[in-house]
Amino acid sequence: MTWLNDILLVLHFVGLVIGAGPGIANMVIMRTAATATPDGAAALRKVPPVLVNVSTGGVALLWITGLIMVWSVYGGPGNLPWAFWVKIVFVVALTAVVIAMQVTLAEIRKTGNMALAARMPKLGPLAGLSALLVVFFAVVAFQ
Amino acid sequence: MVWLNDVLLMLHFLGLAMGFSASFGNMVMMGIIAKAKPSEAIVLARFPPAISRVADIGLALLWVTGVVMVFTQWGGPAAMPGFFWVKIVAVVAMTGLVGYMHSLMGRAQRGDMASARQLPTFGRIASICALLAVVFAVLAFQ
Repeated sequence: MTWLNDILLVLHFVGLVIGAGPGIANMVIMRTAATATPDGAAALRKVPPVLVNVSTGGVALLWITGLIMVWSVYGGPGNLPWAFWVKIVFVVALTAVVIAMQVTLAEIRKTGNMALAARMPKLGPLAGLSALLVVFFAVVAFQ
Repeated sequence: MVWLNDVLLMLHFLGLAMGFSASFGNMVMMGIIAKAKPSEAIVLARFPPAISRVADIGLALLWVTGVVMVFTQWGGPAAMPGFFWVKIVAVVAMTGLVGYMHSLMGRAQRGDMASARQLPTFGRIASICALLAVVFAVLAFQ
């Protein structure tokens, strides 16, 4: 079943770039919005919700492919090194941040209160830091 | 030197995420620009050049860390598996496309709308090359 594990690992990397890439793009959008006219900033605010949805898909792909590989490659969680469990702590943190972003966006849609958007510049770097630590401990665990 | 290879591999993955950030960001942005009012489109059009600088740094990071790892981890290019060279073809194609997209972006900024219309197509081809590089990296190193 090597080919299945290869496909799962490719999808896992795709999940990583889909999960982390939009976060980087969001940071660039926030910097652009900071120097934009009010009309321009309003236009730019349409982008992060779409990118957060893309990120959520990436994190879901990471979980699905990762969980399958725990069994298909390693024969179960008992065989994984300590660094893998540290990685999982940061995957849970990343997931929590992405859920917090989705909840914030849902609240904005429901109430129209744009003041809630002030949470996003705090959550974005947290997601980036969590993703970076996920990669770091994945490398330590599997290199 | 295990720690050095760990750091290099981590930076390699960071470069990958930075490179793909432009693909996703620009795909979403092109869709929004297409539906935006002209006054909004002017502001939104400032995003692609900004994110392409992030992608350039990511691509440079991929090349630098990748070339260093060929020597620190594998002892030189002769030891690399066959699929690695297929990956390199995809990476070279992607780098060439990024260079060409920069020239198109320059022409678009000077008002050449035909060049601006070509950008999404070449962006999608570059993303496919990046995806192929990931596929062949897995086949080479798994």
